[in-house]
This record gives sequence, C-alpha cells and structure tokens, in this order.
Amino acid sequence: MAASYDFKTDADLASRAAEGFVSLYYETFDKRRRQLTKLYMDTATLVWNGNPISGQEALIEFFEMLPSSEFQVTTFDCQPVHEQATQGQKTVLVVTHGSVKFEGNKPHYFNQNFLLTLHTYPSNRLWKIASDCFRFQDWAS
Amino acid sequence: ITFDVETPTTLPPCKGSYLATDNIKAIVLRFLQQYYAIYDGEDRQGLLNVYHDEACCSLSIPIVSGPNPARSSLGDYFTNSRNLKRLRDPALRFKLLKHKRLNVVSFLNELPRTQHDLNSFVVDVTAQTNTLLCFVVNGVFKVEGQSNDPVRAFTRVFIAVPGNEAGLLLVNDQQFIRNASTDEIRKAFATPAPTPSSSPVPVLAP
Repeated sequence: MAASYDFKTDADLASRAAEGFVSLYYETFDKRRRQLTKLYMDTATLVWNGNPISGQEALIEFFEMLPSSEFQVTTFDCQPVHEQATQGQKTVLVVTHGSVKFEGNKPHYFNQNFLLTLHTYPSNRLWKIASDCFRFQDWAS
Repeated sequence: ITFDVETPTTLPPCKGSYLATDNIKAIVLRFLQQYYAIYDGEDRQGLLNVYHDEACCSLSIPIVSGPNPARSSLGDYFTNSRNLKRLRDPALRFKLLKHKRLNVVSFLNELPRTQHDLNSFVVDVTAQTNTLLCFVVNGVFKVEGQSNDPVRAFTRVFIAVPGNEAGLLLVNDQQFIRNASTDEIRKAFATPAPTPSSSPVPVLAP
C-alpha cells in the first residue's frame, strides 16, 4: 500500500512540475532566449535533430545561433522516473508535441522530451533539465 | 549606411540517429528488435519480462478537432490519451498513467495490433548512466485488422535500468501517436535502397 501511495505522490509532483515547466520553457525560448540555459544543469545534454550538444557553454552557443522562434505546444505528458534508474534523485520525464516557426524557415511539427531533476538549495528547490531531446517530425522530407 | 541587425535564419542540419557509442547502439538496437517482435505479435503478454515491477506507461495523441474525436482516425487511442494540456481532472490524469508491470502490459495488450517498420526507426540516446538508459524512437507502423491498415507515426521514449543477461528492464514508457504524413506513408515499408551515410540511415536495416 505504501508503494502505491508514494507513486500517487510522485505522479502528482510530476504533473505540477511538468505544467510549470512547459509554459516557462517555451516562453523563455521565444522571448528570453539568453536566459534559457539557466534552466539546464551545468552537465546537461541536448540532442537536437540528431546533433549532440553538452555542457552550459556549448548550449549557450547553440541557442544563440538558432533563429528567433515561435513555439506552440499542443500536447504534453509526464511520468515520474523510477528511483532505481535515478539513484534516488527525484526525476520527471516530460514529453511535448507542437509546432514551431523559426524565422526564415517553414513551420515544423516537433516532439521534445526532457528529464528534469530536483535540486535542493538552502533557500529553495528547483527543477533543472538534465537531458533534452528535440526532433522535427518532418525533418526527413 | 545601415545598421547590422541581421538575425540568424539558418538551422543546423538535421541528422539521423544519435546512438552515443557503439556499445550502447548494439544494446539499444538488439532491444528494439526483440521488443517489437513481441509487440507486433498476436499477444503482447510476452512483454511481461521486459518491464520492471514498478514500471509506468502512458500514451498521448495530438489534439483532435471535429465534433466527434472518439470516431476520428486516431479514435482507438483517444480514450487513453494522456494530454495534460487538455486533461485537467486529477483523477483521470492518474488513471491514465498505467503503473506496475501487469497493468502496463495489459494496457499495451488492449491497443490495436500493429506492424512496425523497423527500417523507418530513428533512435536518439538522450541519457546514459550506470543505472539508467533513456532513448527515443521515431518511426511508423501499420494498424492491423482495420480496413486499409492505416499508417501511423510515433515517437516513444523508453527509460530502462540494467536487466538480466546484459538486457534492459523498462521503468518508463511514453508513446506519442499521430497520423503519418503523405511522405511518411509513401516511404513506409518500402524496401530501403542503399543510402549514402550523410542521409538518414535506417538504423535497423539488415
């Protein structure tokens, strides 16, 4: 019984984290791009349409190079990641789907997924992106 | 005289599968071959030993417009779609997140029979540690047993812990299913021609 209770707690925590994260992430991407990497861990990794990028500096450089964007998320889901996989660190899987228009490019549908980990600081607790994977759905056309 | 306010308009080139290392590539590709051999079979009960006791699983589809979404082309998945953008009821949110091995496999077993095109798979490894492997599969499949066997596209995230005999044990499984584009339908299940290495290489090609 205890295990099911914990799962419910974790599932609710994941839902709240995902909800806050999804709106903050895409708003930051579109409107405050320079702040975006603050949402990532120092050691975070991104796989963007098959291109691997890792670490803050590389991420800053990568996001700066991307044209300005307009994201629209139409679907998202999340799951608490099992503790056995994360060695006890609270982790949430967030998956999103929507469309994005990068300046000078045709609109694309995309899918993206994140692993968010919970970090405790003296004054607060924060979710940070540990990994991020992004793909256009029509990239091979 | 002008000011330089040029903004970037070029996107980095899109690439095929990112599989991190040869070792991980081998593990992931072997897993997918075995997984979909069972998943596409008559009975998905065989997946029981692929999932962790405490595994969880969910599925989502894009927002369906029109007066009767349940009867739309993705109708088979509609009632199970966990799209938190639309789904506000906490009880229903929790109900659609399948938890524990038996629930996960019986949920998967109730979904329509499928035939996946393994040559269409594009796989990205997003995270790997000693205790976790997270990878994402993009591809197409045919829904069987319906008139004209419609082609669907999917993006599926698997998170695994190390399992028996160097295998993988799934702890998380999230699947997104949408209608395939005309281009995807045209290419689906076509015998792959040899492709130059710079273009998308079907990762599971024989």
